[in-house]
Amino acid sequence: MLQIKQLEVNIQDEKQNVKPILRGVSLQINPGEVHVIMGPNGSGKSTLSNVLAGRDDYQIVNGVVTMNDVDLLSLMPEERAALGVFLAFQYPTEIPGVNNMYFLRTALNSQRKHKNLPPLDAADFLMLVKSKLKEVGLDESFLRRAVNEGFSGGEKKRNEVLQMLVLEPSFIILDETDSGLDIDALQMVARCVNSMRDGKRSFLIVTHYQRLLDYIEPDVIHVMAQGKIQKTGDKSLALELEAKGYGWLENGSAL
Amino acid sequence: MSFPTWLADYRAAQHAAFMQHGVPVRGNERWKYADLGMLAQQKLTSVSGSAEVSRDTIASYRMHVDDAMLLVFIDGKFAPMHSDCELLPKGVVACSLRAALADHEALVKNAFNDDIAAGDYPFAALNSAVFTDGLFLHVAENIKLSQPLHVLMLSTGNEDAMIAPHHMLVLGENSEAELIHEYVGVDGGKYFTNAVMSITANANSKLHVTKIQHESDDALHMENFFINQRADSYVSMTNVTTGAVFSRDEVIVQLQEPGAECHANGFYHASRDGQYVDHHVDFKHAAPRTNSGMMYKGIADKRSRAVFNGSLYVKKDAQKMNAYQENHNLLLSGLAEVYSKPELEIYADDVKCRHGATIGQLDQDAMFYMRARGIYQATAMSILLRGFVEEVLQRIHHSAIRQHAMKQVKFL
Repeated sequence: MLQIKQLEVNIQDEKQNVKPILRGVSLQINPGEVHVIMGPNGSGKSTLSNVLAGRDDYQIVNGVVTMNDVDLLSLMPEERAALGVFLAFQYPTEIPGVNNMYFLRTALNSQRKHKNLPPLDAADFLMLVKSKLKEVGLDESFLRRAVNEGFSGGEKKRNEVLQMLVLEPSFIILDETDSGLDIDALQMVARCVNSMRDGKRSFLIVTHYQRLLDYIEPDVIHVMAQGKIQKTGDKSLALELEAKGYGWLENGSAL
Repeated sequence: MSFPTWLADYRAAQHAAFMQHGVPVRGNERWKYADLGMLAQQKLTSVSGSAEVSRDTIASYRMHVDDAMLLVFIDGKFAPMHSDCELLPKGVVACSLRAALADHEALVKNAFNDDIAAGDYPFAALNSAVFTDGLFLHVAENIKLSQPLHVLMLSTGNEDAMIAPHHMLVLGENSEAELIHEYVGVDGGKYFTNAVMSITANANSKLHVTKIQHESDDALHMENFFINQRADSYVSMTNVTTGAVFSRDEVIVQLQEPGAECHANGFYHASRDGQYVDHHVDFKHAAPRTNSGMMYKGIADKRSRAVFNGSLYVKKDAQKMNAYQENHNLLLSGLAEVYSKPELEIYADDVKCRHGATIGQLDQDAMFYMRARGIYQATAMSILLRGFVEEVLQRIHHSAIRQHAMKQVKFL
């Protein structure tokens, strides 16, 4: 499904200083797998998520990313989305003046156009989105509001999950979607993720907390620090991290 | 044509005033950014021939609403054969100024009550010195005109012509009207439209005006609006500018009596190299409990320039007044320029005024967010720009006029 080989990424700040963020990340996610990335703040988790989705604030220095053998890094963000890449944003953007329902329908129909499918008309789309709204716990008034404008933190995250359900992507990145959620919202996210697990669709979940993994059973857990994957293991790794923290990474000692 | 003596005198006085003050120079603060050099290259002849515009062309500018009444002017001259004059209800006069002078001279004379300060508004004085026609609308007291009036000012592109329509709107006490006022360049050309619209809103009357200016790309366009409002009258105006190489609108509003309220909204899109768009709005609050609002938004692209100057003057006895002034701009190119100049001059001490002006770029985070959901870059940009202008166009009162205005604003 997704293969990352020796990815090195820099960022340039306002003072034109170049700072390496990813220092050779390699990762293979097979169809149907759920991978989790944990790690201390500033380790490069969000950078990895954004680079995969195509944000161009970064300099790709080295490395290859392929999805089903297509070179992902050469594609525009919208082309990646059409291939099935979906990033649930850590901080969803507010877009004043743009109606949420219009936005979502345009997104869906853009992707359908890419796949040579006919567009959904307003009525069919409304039917589809109404059923998904219930699953994420938002009421219909959110469709009539501007995209994320004035939404609470939790409502923004629910809106991200709504988009995920409507767009039905094949490779889903959740960038700290669980941060700041109450227990009901957390369970909703897990329920939606689990309902989308069909043996083919893959997930990359970035999180700080083991708590989400009580509800979503991961296949692989990676620990990222200083721009590299330091350790990979099964779900028991998350429990150990919860108990011991990340201090051992900075000290350079073994877990 | 000949004019009644009082009007001939008025024209002569305006002519003398214009000759005395002349065309403004850059040193004049109100004209600081305007390059009037291109006017010097125009010959500014009056339009002699009577150009024809085909019925099909005119039909293509009609609004898609059953009850709108179309009034067509071609190169500043009223074209009755293309207009729906027969649909007007009793108590409403909507016709050419020439016809009004013949049939309703007293009404017209009454409407010409104010002299134009030629020093401040030289092009309005020039218009008043040379106009030959224009729209005359008079709504009698207690008449509520439910159908919108669509005034279509078509220019056929006479090189070097100055088209100088002089429009007058009078709303009787407790009356209501809705107007869309549209300038269209049908055949390109480097002509100069220099219009004046004077509006008198008597006590408790209500008027909604939407202006759409999409003159030809090479045209010059100026219009001065003089709006005088009496007690508890309400005027809202939305001014959409996309056309002409040089365009300047001045909206001068006098809130003369208690309770008068005026909202001036605008959207301008300077999208071509060398295009200049200039909006001035002056509100004078002369009485207590008067309210006003300005909401102008603009987009400047390529090597274009846009100017917004909003000024608010509150007299000492205009207590309990309430006003806001907002101007927001997007620069889409590194070569475009925007000058935003809010001015407040307040002599009363019990007032509410707020203002805000911004000049920014397209939100790159929002662009990425949309693209990451599969929306093509060009579409994402047009959605964002549309979202930006929506706040202004939503303020157009009549839904068909609102939709008509939205169609004129194109980003793709």
